[in-house]
Amino acid sequence: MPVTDIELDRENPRIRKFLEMYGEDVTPEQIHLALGAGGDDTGAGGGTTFSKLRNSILSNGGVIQPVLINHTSDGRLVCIEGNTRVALYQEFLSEGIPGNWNHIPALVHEDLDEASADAVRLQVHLVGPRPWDPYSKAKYLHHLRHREHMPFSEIIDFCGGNETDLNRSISAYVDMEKHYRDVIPEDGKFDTTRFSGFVELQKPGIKEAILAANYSLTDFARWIHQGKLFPLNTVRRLPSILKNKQAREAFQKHDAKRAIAHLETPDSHKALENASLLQLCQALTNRLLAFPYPEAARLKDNPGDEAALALFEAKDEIVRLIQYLEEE
Amino acid sequence: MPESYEHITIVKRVLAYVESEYAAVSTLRALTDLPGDTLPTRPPIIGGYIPDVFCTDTPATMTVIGEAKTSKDLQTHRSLEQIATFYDHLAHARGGHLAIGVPWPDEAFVINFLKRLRSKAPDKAVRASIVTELRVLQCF
Repeated sequence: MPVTDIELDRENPRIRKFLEMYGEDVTPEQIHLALGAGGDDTGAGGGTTFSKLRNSILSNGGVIQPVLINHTSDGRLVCIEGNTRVALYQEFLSEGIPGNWNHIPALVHEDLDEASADAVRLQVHLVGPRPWDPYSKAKYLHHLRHREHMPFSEIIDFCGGNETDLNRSISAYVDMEKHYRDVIPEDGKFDTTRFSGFVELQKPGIKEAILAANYSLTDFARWIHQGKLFPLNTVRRLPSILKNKQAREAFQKHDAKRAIAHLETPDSHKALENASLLQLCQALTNRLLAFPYPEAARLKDNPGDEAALALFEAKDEIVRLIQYLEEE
Repeated sequence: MPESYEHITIVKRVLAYVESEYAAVSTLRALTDLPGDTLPTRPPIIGGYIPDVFCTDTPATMTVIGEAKTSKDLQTHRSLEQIATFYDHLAHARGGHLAIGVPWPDEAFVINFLKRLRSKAPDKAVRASIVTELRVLQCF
């Protein structure tokens, strides 16, 4: 469909928000702004945002998934899903960016009433497509990187995210395939829900601690299969467990949960446990603001240091809570 | 604790499987703990846990325990301890049958967990089934 014939949808949730703030009399440029500055372009969650989608379309030379158009009874062609993509095509066209931006793949509904259009918007914006599970996503990223030899920058353009996370995900996939598949007994099953344990394995200091304790990554895979590292976030505690004689013995005999009970909890921790989240956050922020550079450099050189591991663990939990708080 | 829609859906799937599997048993009595249940009797407490589905016949020749778990619930020690408790209870019951309902991506996790339970006590014979939206797998 010719992109110049398509009208952007003023009932789109992001455009609607903009219109309510600035009035109905807005230009197409402002609608573009509403789509680009809808408040979701700064997130670090790896979702599809305006700039990421822009790079993806440029890299790919177009879109694969068609936009949805409502051909109204008065002859208008209103985009009810895919406004950002249409806006980008229109922008590329007007800016003379090389490529075929005159036509966009589209599915056209004939004269949808408002209720049906609402149903489409609800399905797309509230339910959305089901995300891939992390293992499947990593498998595909591995395929792109190692079979298609696609550079990281290009994968990021297509899929979003950042190089560290992509690298970690691909390495986790490789480790899982190399070590976990072989330890599954004949009557067992390859359990892809264990993948996040292998993602944890990629975090600084974990592999080093396993190897330093004279274990191998095959041992690690066996622990995962045996349920010794359950839930999977106990992988983060492996360096502390393996360093502590009693904890290590409890781990060998039982599991990480029993082992963690042997790890020392100094008395000062008890006082901290009574502090409120507000107090803890303020204290941590103040401490980090005054954190001496030599100490930061020391942690950087020793990612297996307990303080460094605790910092990574705290970061993961803080990010998890913040993501929950920010969920709409 | 209020049950989630996802959990209730899985409980209903487990119940449907158990009722279909034992449709020939005329004295079958199935107890559930679902919102809106009007039966005065709820499933019994077993080892400190209340199963989602509990079935028996009269006179008692079989005991079926059905337990539904969402993906999130399944990743807790409490859930695994609960399943292990039911498994152990059924090992000592006549005609023990454990039916675990989970979303299909978690089937492999439950298979491996049940195999571990069985390997710890190979002499305890409990029939185990895994009920997902795709199929019912007879584990052993």
